[in-house]
Amino acid sequence: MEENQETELPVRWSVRISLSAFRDAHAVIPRLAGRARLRRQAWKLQWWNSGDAEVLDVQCRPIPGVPMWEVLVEEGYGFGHGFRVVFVPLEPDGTIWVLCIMKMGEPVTEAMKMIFQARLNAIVERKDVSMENPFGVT
Amino acid sequence: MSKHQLSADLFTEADQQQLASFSCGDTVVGRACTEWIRGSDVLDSMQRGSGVWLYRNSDDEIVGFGSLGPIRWRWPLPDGDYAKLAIIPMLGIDERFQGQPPGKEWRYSRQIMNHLIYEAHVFSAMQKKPVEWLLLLVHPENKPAIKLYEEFDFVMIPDVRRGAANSCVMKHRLAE
Amino acid sequence: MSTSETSNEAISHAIPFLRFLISMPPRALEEFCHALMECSGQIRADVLQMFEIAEDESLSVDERGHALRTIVDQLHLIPDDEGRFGMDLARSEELAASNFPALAYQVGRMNLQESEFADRLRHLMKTKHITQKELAARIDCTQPAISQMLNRKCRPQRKTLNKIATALAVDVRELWPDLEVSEYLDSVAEFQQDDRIMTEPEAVALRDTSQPRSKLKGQPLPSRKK
Ligand SMILES: CC(C)(COP(=O)(O)OP(=O)(O)OC[C@H]1O[C@@H](n2cnc3c(N)ncnc32)[C@H](O)[C@@H]1OP(=O)(O)O)[C@@H](O)C(=O)NCCC(=O)NCCS
Repeated sequence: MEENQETELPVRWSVRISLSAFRDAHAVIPRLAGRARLRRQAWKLQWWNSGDAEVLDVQCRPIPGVPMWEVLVEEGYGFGHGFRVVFVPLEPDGTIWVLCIMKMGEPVTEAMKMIFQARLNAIVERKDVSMENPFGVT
Repeated sequence: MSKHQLSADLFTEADQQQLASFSCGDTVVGRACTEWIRGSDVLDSMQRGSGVWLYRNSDDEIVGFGSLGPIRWRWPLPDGDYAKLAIIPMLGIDERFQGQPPGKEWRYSRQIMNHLIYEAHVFSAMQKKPVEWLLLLVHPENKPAIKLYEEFDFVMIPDVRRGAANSCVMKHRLAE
Repeated sequence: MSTSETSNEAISHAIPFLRFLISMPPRALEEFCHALMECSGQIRADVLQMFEIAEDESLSVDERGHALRTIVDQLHLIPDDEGRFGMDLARSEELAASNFPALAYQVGRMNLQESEFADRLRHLMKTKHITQKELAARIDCTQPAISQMLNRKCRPQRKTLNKIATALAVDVRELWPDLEVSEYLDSVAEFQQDDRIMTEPEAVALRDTSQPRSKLKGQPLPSRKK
């Protein structure tokens, strides 16, 4: 049956996570098995179609007032009802950056938006810096 | 000394290499128990302050494991104060050794429970204020476990079910 | 606005930051200042702002925690093993699993669960003569999502599993045999969480002193090492 052929979906984005978001994950899910499962949900973002309200079986939505999005993971791993994975797509690089991991119930307040922006500022300034390119020349 | 006498040694991450064939059986709780000690949950629990012991018989075979940890829960509001409690996060016996040895005196499950209760007293003695309660979670259909715990003065807390697994909580009021 | 007002404001912004500096051991303080010197003006300003949030008692513990963790990014110039800023999400799992056996075990379990699920789903779709498109329509998702699941590239969420089970008229455990095991382990992890507010029946049970104290004192076991 042709429709049942399993064609691979092309990867659209490289997904990177900032160190602070990685530390967030440790704070909101102090359990390795939970973080490992959450990571598998977040990496669905590599197939995200810009602007879509879902990717595979997870829901995505824009965060009002900032050029950022969030993925809603509706699994708790023993630590609540779910998690929000805040991300920003940087189109020219083809990279999605995970900025923050929050519990589902945490509100996106003005302070949180400042935090996202500060994290993004650091990413934008340093994303091209590497051992080979210490000054981040693009 | 009986050949059934168990030894208890604190578990470390390096011991996981010796657990490749350790299995608490094919029931849901048995599989969860195996995964807990062979995977990462045991390490997370230790990070939170739990002690975990491996129990071996005189042939140096791993018979089972047990754990004991502190938790701080809060009384419902408006009180909101902390209550320090002890819990047995998980314990399990390899399926080959469940129900063994047949005589009750040296039954492994009893040696392990006795050891964990002893360790709960050691833990309590180290606190500023003695710890009153030792708690554990049990699957409502885990008959051997419930029977074992009841024998060690654990009683079921009524009307409490936890998580999607609908687990029950049992309490033991520690001796003074 | 007068110059003195501006500088007063600047000082008040810097107070949380200064308080933090004073609390640092000398060695860490030296490293911290060094990292800060290397930052751009923008990031230095952001660091101060994050300290302000972290010290603001009117904000939630969660917000303040996120602010403090932001500083980790700001002061680590090249933090990653790859020699680049941040971490590749997929590669970081591989890399960490090769260093941590417990994570390697967990990754192995997840891979096995996902491949068992893919096999079972494929088999059920075949026996029930359901195409990817039809299944997608029944569970309100896209055909590529189904295809990725069959390719083991999409770990379904629990709610997706439920929908698929309903659509295929099977028990969800037929699709994901480890479901109850995971749920049990989740409840064990949840049980060990500090700071949880007890439910009313739990509080009643733990306030109830009518249950006599146990007489059991337990028994130590010898160590095999001795
Ligand atoms: C729970 C566990 C530690 C108990 O150890 P065990 O060696 O099997 O225990 P025992 O054989 O001493 O059984 C305890 C009691 O339950 C009884 N029992 C055993 N199977 C039973 C059953 N299906 N129904 C009712 N009672 C049963 C035993 O006869 C015994 O009673 P007794 O003291 O009157 O003889 C062990 O079975 C185990 O590791 N199971 C898998 C993991 C697990 O369940 N861990 C506990 C998590 S809370």
